[in-house]
Amino acid sequence: MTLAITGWSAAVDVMPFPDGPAAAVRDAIRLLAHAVSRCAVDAAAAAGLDGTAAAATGCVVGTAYGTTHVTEDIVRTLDTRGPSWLDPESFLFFAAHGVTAAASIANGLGGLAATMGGLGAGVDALVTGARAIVAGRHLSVLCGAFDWPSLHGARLLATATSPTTPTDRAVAFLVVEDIASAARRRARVLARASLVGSGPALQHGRATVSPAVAPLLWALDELVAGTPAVTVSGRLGGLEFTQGAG
Amino acid sequence: MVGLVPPARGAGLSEPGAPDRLVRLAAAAVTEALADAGWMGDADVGLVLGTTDTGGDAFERQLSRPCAARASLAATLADDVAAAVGLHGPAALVWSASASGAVAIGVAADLVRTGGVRRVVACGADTITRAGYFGLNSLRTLSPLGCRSFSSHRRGIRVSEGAGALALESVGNVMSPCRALLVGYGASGFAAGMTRPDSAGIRLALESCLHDAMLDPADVDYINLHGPGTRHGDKAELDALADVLADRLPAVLLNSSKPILGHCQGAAGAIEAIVAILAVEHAVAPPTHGLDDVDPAWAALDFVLGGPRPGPLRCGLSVSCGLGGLNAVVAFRPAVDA
Repeated sequence: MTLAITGWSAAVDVMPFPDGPAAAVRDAIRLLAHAVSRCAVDAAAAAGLDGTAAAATGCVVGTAYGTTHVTEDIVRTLDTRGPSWLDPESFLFFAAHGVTAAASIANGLGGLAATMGGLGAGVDALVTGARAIVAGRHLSVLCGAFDWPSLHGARLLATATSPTTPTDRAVAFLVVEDIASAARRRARVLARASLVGSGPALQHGRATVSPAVAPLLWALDELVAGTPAVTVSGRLGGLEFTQGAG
Repeated sequence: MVGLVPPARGAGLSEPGAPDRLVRLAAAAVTEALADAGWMGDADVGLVLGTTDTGGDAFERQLSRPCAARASLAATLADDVAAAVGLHGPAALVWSASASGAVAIGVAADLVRTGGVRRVVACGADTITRAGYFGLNSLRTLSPLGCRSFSSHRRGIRVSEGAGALALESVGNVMSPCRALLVGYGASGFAAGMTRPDSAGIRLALESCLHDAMLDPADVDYINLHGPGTRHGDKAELDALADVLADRLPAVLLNSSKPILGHCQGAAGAIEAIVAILAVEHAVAPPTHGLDDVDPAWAALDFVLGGPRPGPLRCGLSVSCGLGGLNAVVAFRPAVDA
């Protein structure tokens, strides 16, 4: 089954997650949710997804680090001597799905929502969204990824991947759509895509700093540069992109 | 499989290098599911693990006492569990709040349905961590009276832990008798806001599941409700059911497992799906423990009370909801329909 990519958006900011007082961490989590929602809104707008189409669209987001900052903030607060107070609003982002939920709500999406975790979670999110369309659940799914590691999270993951200290906040979204649905909506097809078998995850440019987002950024860079065919692959399968409406 | 796994011999929970309890809980459930399905020794089985956790208690221990032990970030959990049970198929982590277990079932089902893998285990697992417990407390959602789903005296959730795992494969490939048919899955991420449960979102997930299963409301005989025991959560769920099932709802047998099992967080969706499977497999609806004062608003509904209720159950649903407006519903039919 051939799918259409009808919109995309990406943002990378070189800025370390604050290793400061609890208030700074709480503000940064809100900034992260805002940045992810903003990127999702931009991708949906590029695809012309609004109103009824948006209400029937799903959202699948992958992340390697998630929102471990909230756990770290809670543990740090509980370990501090004296009276302590936990911000209930921060706990909404204890599970990384809080960020996905913020993106779904910002776009008025009514379809399935899921958050995938792990180093290859960005590709897992793409493939899971594509499989939901192939399975007939939805005509369109907003698929994306985000990473903004805390210093502790980065240290833990660095022991498994590389000695790099990550400092990037990276987000990317693609709108994956049933190609016939895209045609009916008269949406511009930026690329075509089809499911391919699983394989080893490839290391792309920023993989050591933004493991979940890197393959999506790489694929977007290649497509924008005019590369005829681009494949991203993970353990749940892969997607092969080809240029334009074809 | 539901249960508490004791610390491994010689590795106390306070020891930073101890194997993480979340991994051991999930591995125990996955092993039990593999044995139940007769799949022991099949290394190509895939794994979709659902949890709310950021890395189990090992992650929190490493925060307090930094060490060079194996990374315990959630990023590696699915791989850690797969390695612990010797699976080499695709492994993925679903991190979808309290509906993680149910969403893991849906992701696993689509993986099979679209040819990504022949056999897969969907597992939900969670432990009670200090950060999770005090975080829930900050939301004032913990009940001092335990979980009293659908009671007029319901005050909130009783947080719990456990793991549940389901072995899934296409009906055409089944080599031995199966327990039930997974006939539908629906999920939605719709809400007016991040905190308050929204019946419109639950309705979307219910409709999506029934559509996927090609079922009418009249086909539904039993529902294992999410029933967290919160004032707004229980109401939103039953409002959604009333919207979707309409006149059929009073005839449907209803129960919540949470007064017995507690809210197993990311494991709840998988564990409660197993309750629904056992109900349709044995044609017996389990009761809701301790529900002796049903909220008068729902007096017309058929909550199973006192003891199990036998009856032909042609279709059972299991409903799961999570923070941020995430809802997931799975539908099962008896295996004799295969």
